[in-house]
Amino acid sequence: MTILRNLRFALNSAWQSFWRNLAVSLAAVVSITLILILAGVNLLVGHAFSQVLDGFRDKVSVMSINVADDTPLTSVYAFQQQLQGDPRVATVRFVTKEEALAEFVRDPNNAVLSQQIQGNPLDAKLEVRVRSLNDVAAIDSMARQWPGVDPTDPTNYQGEFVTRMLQLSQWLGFAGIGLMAILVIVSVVIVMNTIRTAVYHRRKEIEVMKLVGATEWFVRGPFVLEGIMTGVIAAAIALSLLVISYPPAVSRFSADITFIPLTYDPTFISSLARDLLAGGALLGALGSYIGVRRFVRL
Amino acid sequence: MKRRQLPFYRRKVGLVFQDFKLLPNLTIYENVAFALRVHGQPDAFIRTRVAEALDTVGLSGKELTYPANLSGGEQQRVAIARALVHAPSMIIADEPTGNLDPATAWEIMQLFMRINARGATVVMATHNREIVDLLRRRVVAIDAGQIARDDRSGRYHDDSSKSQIRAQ
Repeated sequence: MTILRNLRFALNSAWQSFWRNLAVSLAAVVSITLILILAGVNLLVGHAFSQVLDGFRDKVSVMSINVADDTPLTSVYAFQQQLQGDPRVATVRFVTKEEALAEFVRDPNNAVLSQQIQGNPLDAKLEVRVRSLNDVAAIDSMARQWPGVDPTDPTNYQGEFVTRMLQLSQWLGFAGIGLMAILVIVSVVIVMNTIRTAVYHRRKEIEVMKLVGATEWFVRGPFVLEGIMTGVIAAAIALSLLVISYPPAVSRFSADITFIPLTYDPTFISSLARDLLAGGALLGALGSYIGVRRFVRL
Repeated sequence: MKRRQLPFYRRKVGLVFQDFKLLPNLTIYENVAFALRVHGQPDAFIRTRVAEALDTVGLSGKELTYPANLSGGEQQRVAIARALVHAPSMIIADEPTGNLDPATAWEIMQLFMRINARGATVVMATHNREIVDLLRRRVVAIDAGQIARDDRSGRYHDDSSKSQIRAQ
């Protein structure tokens, strides 16, 4: 009961303080909104990038092992069995010379080339889908040691591209974390100074509160709640702006840059909402806590 | 004493200051109720206790006035009401009459005597010679941070001009 009454007191007083210093409160809301928009864009770009990377990952995790023309079928089947037994391998498909040619001809990109082909220059191949991109290189070296492999053109996969993409995503991850850290610090400082202004206006009241026996949390509570209020309002504004502009941004991007398979992902919005609201509340609370600390100790 | 425990110790005493320390944006009622609100007391309890305290200091009917509209003596009586609203066993007053004219100061002293008669201990720091000499209560003289004298029913002494006298 006492806790509920104290909470009501804190809520009333936070609400009053927010409206009484409206200019300062709005300045804080705008600053945190801008910061959360930056943070949200950061999250969205990171998500889009991993989306795109997943698309590529699916494509590049397939490698083909070319079989020399004189390799007996029993040896090919034996190696296929060996690959299928490997925990790193998802599926293995044997493609004969004829099937390979048929596939080649079917591809519209090869229309001109396929008319000039005489006989069947293509190898039979084992198409291996590897579970994890990191294992592609290991499977590749294993295939090269197999005696039945075509020595002039042993394997095909987009290995270099894969490792570069992985490196890039790692670096982008680091950059994102760094940017987030800076944004957190900036917003905490902003909330801290806002609340400090509010506290400064009410320092007499705080002094009297302390003298008649208020606990530190009783004094702190209203300011921390005010900070949370500021943060949540800012998060709501930032979120709605991001949600409104996310679909047109994606469609504009995929219209301009068609080779990157970026799609609108509505499921990400709920996780973005959760992150931004929790982040805003937390930043507000932390900033107020630090802002009011000096005045609470009396 | 730990810092965490300090607020709970403060709830056992009532404090009165030379400069009243009333909140100008709160009414008289809210100023007195403030102490109980800070302790997390229920509204009904606060209403009866504030009414009693304002009655004790003779300010019933001024509940909705703001401190700026009261005289100095009335403001100090509001502060005293706030100090005794939570029924402390001891009231500490730091020069409560320092900002008041002699007649008003004497009214405040009579109020303190009434509170004392009801059983609360009143510890008061003062430089006011007439008050000390008139009351003839226990006087503790403090000089340079040391207790210089402790009389059961003392007077204000001339011997040191800078001494502070406490009367109970």
